[in-house]
Amino acid sequence: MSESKQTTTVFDDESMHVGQVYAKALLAASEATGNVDEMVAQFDSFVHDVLDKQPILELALANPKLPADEKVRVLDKAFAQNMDSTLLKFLKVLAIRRRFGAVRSVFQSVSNLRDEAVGRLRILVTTAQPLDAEALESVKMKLTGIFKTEVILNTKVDASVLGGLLIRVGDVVYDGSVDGQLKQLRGATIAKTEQTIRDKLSTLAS
Amino acid sequence: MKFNSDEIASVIQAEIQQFGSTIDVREVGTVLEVGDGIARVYGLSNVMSGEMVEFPSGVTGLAFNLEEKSVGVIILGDFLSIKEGDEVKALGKLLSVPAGDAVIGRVLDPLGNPLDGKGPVNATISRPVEIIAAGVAERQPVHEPMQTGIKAIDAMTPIGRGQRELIIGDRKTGKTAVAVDAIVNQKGKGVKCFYVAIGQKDSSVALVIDALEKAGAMEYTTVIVSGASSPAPLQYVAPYAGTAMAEHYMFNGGHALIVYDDLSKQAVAYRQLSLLMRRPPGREAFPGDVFYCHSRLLERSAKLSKELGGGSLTSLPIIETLEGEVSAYIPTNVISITDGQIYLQPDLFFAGIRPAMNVGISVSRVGGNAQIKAMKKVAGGLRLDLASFRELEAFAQLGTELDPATQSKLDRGYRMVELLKQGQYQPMEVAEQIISIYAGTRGHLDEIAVERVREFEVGLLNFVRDRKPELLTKIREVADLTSEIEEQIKSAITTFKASFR
Repeated sequence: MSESKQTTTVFDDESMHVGQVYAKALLAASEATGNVDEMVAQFDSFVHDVLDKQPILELALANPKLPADEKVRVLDKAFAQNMDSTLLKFLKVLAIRRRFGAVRSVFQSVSNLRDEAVGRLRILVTTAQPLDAEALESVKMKLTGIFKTEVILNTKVDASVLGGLLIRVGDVVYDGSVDGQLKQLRGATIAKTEQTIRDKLSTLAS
Repeated sequence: MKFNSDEIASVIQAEIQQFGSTIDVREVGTVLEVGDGIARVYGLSNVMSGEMVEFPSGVTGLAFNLEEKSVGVIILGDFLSIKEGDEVKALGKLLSVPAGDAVIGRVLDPLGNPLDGKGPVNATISRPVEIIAAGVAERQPVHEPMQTGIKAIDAMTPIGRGQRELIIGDRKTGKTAVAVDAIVNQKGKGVKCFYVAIGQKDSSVALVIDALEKAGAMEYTTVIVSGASSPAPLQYVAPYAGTAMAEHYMFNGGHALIVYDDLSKQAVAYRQLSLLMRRPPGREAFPGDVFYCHSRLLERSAKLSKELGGGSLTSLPIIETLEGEVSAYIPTNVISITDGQIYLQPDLFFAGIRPAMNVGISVSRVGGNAQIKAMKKVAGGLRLDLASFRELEAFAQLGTELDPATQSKLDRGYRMVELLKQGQYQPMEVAEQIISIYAGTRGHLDEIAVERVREFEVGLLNFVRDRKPELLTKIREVADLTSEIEEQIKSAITTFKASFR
C-alpha cells in the first residue's frame, strides 16, 4: 500500500491504445495457464522495483538499435529463474516487436482490466499525517461497506489537507478534509455577510 | 452609512455556528497540457459539453471538446498560472454573467468583471451566457422602428426593433461610426444599448467610450471589451456574454440594442480555438461549425410576442471585408443570417459621401414595416431614384448631350446625395429627417446650388425649430403625412426659401 500515482500526466494516445491491446492478450494468456494475480503482482514489482530503479535497463530494452536476440538474452539471464513464465514470454514478445516503450501503459491497462474483471476498486486516500495500520483497516472496512466491493487503498500524505480524509474514487473526489470544510465555511460566511449588507442597504434605501 | 462591525461579527458567528459539515463531492481531472488559452485534461469522465470547470488558481474554463480519453477545455482568464498536473474540478453549472441595471453604464470584460475602475458590479441577477433562442411561437413580426438617427439609413434601409442589420465594409469606412450614432440616438427612447468590442485595439475602444460619454450615452449603455490582447477564448465568448446581458431587458418587456464590433474577429478567435483543439479545418481554415457559431448568436435577437411582454433585442453585427470582398466565407455567412445589410464603400467615403452607404446593394428585409407612415410616404421611391441616378451619372460622364428630363433627374440626384450626407455623432430626430427629405424628394431644392444644399438644410431645420416647433410635434404625434401636415411643411419651406440667399 505504497503511495502511487493514480493517473499519469503523460498523455500518449497511441501507446495507451497499444497498452490496451497487449494487456488484453497478456491477461487472456495468463488465465489459460495459471495464477493471474501472481502474474500481475510480479508485473507490478517488475515495473516499480526493477524499471524505476534501473532506468538504463528500460532504455536499453526500448532501444530499437539493439538487436532483439540481445534483449531476449538479457531478459532470460535476469529473470528466468523466478519470473512467471507467461510474463517472461510476454516481455520478450514486447522486446522483439519493438513495443517495449509501451511497457508502462501495458502495465496500467493490465492492472485496470484485472481490477475490473474481479470487481476491485482502487481508492486514493489523502491524509495530513500517515495513517497507522489500525486506522487504515477501519477506513478500508468502511469503504468496503459503502461500495460493496473489494477495495484497494492507496495512500498519500499531503499536509495541505490539514486533517480529515480526502477520498478519490476514479474521477470523483469526496472531500471530508478540514481544508475543504474551511473553504466551504469561508464561502458560506462571505455569501451570508454580503447578503446581510445588501438587505440592510435595501431597507435603508426604501 | 456606517456598518457596525459587531453586527457583521455576529452574522459571521451565526454562520459558523450553523455550519453543517457536509462532504463536498466533486468530479476532477488532471491537466495534461496547457497553452494558448486551451488545456487538455485527463479524467472529468462525466463532464458535459459547455460545463464550467475550475482550476486551482481560481481560473474558470469551459469543456469544449469531449474526446475518448481527454477533455479539451478553453480557459477563460489567465492561463499562465496553470501547470501540468493541476487538479481540475467540474462545477456542474453553465457560464453566466451579471445582468440587470447594475451593468448599465459600465465597461466590463466578457465575464462581467469591471474594467472601468468604478468598483464591483453589484448585480443580483445573472444570466447564462449560452441559451437557445426564442422559438417561432414566442415571436411576432418586427413592426416598431428603431431609429438610427442617420437620414440615409432611416429613409432607405429602415431598421426595426428586433431586427438584425449587418454593417459591412472595408476598414476605415465608418462602420463603427454608424453603430455609435445609432447608440447615441437612443437617448431618451428607453432602449438599453450594449457595445461589444471584440479583438479591437484598446485605443479605439477608448475612443468609442469617450464619444459615448461625451454624447451622454453611457447612462444607458454597457461596453463589453475583449481587446486584441485578450486571449482567444474571451474574444470568442464576448458576444454571447453581451447578448445575455441584453436579453435581460428583452425578456422583461424592455428594448435593447446590441452592437457586435466585429464578428469577423470573433470568427478568427473561434478558428484559433478550433485549430488548437485539432478540429478539422474547412474553408479558409474555419471550422465546420463557424456558421452555427454566428447563427445561434444572431438568432437570439428577437421581437417577442405580446404575451411575453413584447420586448425586443435589435442587433447590429459588424463585419470587416478585405478589399471589398463580400464573397469571402464569413461575410456571406453573416449576410445570409441577418435581415439585411448596410454596405459601406471606401470610394464613396473618400469622395466625401459620409455615411458612405452604397444605396444599390444595401437592403433591409423588414422594409417599410419598420418605418412610420410619414417617412414611408416621403422616402418611398428614394432608393430606386438614387440607384437610377448612379446609372445616369456614369452615363453622363461620357459627355453626351442630355435631354432636359434626364438633366433634371441628374440635378435632383446630386442634391439628394448632398442632402443625405451627415456628420458623425449628429443623429437627427425623425420629424426633422422627414422635413429635410421632403424638401429633397419633392424638388424644393432644385433651385439651390449643390454646394449650398447642406447649408440650406441646416437653415431650414433651425427655422422650423425656432418658428414652427408645433409642426415638429405634430409630425411626431400624427406620424403620418396628412395633407394638412404636408401643406404646413410646404409653406415652411417656401417661407424659408424666400429668406435664404
